[in-house]
Amino acid sequence: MQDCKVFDRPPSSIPAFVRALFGKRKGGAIPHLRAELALQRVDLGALARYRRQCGFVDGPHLPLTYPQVLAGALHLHLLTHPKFPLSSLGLVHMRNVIEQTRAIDSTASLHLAAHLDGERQVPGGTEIDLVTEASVHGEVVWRSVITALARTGKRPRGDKRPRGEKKPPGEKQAGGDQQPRPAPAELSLTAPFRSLLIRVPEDQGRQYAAVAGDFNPIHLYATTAKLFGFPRAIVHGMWSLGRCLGELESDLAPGSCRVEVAFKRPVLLPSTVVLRASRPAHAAGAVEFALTSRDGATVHLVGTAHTS
Amino acid sequence: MQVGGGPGAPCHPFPPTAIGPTCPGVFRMSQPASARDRAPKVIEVIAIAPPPAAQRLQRQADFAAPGTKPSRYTLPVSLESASPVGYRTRVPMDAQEAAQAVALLSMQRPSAFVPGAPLTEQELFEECALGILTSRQSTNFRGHRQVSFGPEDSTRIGHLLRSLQHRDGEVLDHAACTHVVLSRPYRTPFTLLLTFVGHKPVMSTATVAIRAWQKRFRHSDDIPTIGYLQHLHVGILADAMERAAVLASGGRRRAQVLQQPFCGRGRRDNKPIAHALEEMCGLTLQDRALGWKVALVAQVGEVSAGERVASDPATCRKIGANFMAFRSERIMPGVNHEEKAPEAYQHRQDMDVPDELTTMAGRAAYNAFAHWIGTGREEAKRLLLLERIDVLTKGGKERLREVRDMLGAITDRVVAEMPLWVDLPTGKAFSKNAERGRKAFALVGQRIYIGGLAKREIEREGIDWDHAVRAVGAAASRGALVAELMGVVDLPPDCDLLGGCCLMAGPVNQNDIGKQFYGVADLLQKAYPNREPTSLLVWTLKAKTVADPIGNEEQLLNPARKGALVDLRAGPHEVVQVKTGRGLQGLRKRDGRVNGERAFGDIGNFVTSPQGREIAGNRGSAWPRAWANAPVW
Repeated sequence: MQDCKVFDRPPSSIPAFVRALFGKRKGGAIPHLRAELALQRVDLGALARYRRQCGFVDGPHLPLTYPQVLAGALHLHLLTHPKFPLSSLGLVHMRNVIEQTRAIDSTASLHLAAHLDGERQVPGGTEIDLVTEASVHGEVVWRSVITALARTGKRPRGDKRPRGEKKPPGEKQAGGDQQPRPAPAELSLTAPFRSLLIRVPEDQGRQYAAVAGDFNPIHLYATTAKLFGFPRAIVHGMWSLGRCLGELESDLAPGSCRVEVAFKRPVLLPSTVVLRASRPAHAAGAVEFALTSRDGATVHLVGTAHTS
Repeated sequence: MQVGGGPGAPCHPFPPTAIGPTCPGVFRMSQPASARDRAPKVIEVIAIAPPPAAQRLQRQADFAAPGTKPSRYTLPVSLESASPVGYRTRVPMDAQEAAQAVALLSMQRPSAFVPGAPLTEQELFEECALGILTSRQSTNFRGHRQVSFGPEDSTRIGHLLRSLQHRDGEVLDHAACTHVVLSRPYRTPFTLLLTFVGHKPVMSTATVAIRAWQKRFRHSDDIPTIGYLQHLHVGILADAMERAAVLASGGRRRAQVLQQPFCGRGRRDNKPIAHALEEMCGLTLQDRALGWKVALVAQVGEVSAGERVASDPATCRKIGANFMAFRSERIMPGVNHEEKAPEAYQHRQDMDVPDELTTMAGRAAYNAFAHWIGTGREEAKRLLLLERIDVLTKGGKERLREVRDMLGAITDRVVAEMPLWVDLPTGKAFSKNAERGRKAFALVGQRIYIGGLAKREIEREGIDWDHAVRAVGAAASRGALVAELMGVVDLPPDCDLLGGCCLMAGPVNQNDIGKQFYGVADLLQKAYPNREPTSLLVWTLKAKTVADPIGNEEQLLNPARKGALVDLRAGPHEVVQVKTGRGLQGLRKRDGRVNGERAFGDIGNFVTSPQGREIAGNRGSAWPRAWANAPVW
């Protein structure tokens, strides 16, 4: 039976943070949790700050990633729900698929709904999907699937491959995949039409947290990030994606769009990263993009945007 | 083409074989120029024949292998820059496209503007990219700024301009925008070094201080040719702005550039109007103290079909991309003799600059000089002094050796007489810097020209000296562009280029040190013994197929930079301000963003490794289309 909570305004993050920090997790299967939010109007001031953070241009429509930011409080509510068996603090944002059937007017009333779906055992832990939908006048116009990994350090049964050994090509992912996983785009770095150096300052995590409301300690300070095993603070994956899409906004046709992205390695703060984008010959209208270290040796993010 | 002031910097474009009759001593008073004489001569396309396939060479620069030291022959790992240039390669053009390009080198002033479509932000950016952002190559000095005004302010400025004395062109109605360019005296580490040159041993402790004070607060120059650099650069920019307006608009717009009222005598007689313009540009007291002044005003507007320069938009983009490439690479004359240089640089190529090409380059130069001075071509030929040192002709090598020896001897004296009280405490930094100048002043190449003016003759003609110096800069840049454009005509895929031009002020400055302090004769003295010549620029033409190393050696070798290169060329927001209803705004600086777009990047002429790997950040990103396509005013 689905546990559904409906909010008429974004739930406060503070109780959720308390639960995240001090709540006890009993383990077990992922429950059917759902949360909804009826948003009468988007805070245009906050939207402007978000645009500025990610480099989106002012315009009449919401940036593609913004409904996910609006649903952030719902996500936090679900992931810190007492019935949720995993620790939200250890969750790693692995992949994201965002689909939009049409551009969303920034003054529109939005109905946001998020639920947990899918649970897969994969090398290194458990993957779950967090599905979010945004509706305008009852029509679903935007959908996102966040795939997050709860690291357990355990390998799934039957995966006895020594650590570091590569999987043979074509071998399927171990674990109980219920749905096809979004395949990260293979980016051809030899023929980009965009290549841009982006400086990510030390306080980028704090700046983004202030507009997105995600105050996960791993994004804030090196000292708080070290508590979770990171050498320095890391930037939000959604900032990285937003920054890429903000930069490529002019290269993507407005309206219907599908973005698939795989987060490979975290961006440590401060950093200088390179955004590259190319147009694959095999898919008309698609833009492949990657965020890498300056020398290209470390890939932080790869993605594909399809517009029609 | 390169231009600059000190070691490793100066160069400008120009060339000609039509070197005026070197008939020393005879000076004829000018005759009124006929209409035919005033019309610019058409520049013809002269292709440079590539060598046989076996002799063709390319740069083939690659990234430094892991663990190896980057050098000037390796590609930088990344580029962080707001400049529209980036690392670019030349784009091959056919003869038809080249003919459209050279048509830009013999334009006359527009007679009128007509009301037209408003200027988009993208057009303004590309115009600035071809103009103020790339009119000179030297990266270590930012001596120009621009403030651009919309149609309403242009009307106001038009009223002011009509009150100017010594105008060198008509003030036109219906300007879509007006650019006011500010410039300041040329100051670089080289000019700092000059502060310590030419002093007597004991007296230097006092005379250095006096000269430093005068330089800082009165903008005096240690040697006159440093002062001329400011005007040479303004002249180059003025010429570039005329072409920029055409290319950025696909041929619809033209520029009317007024510069005579803002230099020399013109400036003195037009002070109140110049001050009014400077006030509109938001010039502060601090700016004035640094010597910033209005240097020229360019009105830009749409012209009637009859006055448009016939260019198809696709060719305009190709030419624009090439102009970016010309400012991206260094073209040094001669074979690179460094032992550490890769194989491609070690071979001498049997290629010649065609005589016809030098004629066309000279024709373009005289066109420009006549255009800016407002005189006939014959008069221009008489006033512009050019000496050709051609190693392919008899006596050329000997003359070149003589010039080299003279410049070398001056360097020897500069080093020997450097005041020890400043040189020793700085670890001999000054004398080492002077030593390094030898390489920058080295004169090599097939066809070397020294250009200058005879000051007394110029004054006798009633021409303002500073204005004439600007015209020399414009002439040089136009002539050099001919060589650079011909260097890409029918460019085979296995060649970087077929020819180029290097324009330098360094040898002239070095000679000027000798003139001012050691009694050395002017570089042009031998060719023009009775005309009291003042040499202003040296340029060399070279036919070759391999481009020279890109990148700044110091930065590449600096371990702290880890092979990355920070582009010292200005971004638009750093040197261009746009006057809108919200006041003065930096061009392409908005909502926390600055420009990352490379102008004419749609042509795709970006440097890659032989395997096709890109320099990270080189291609840049597009300025948001919603902003770029919107009218500026």
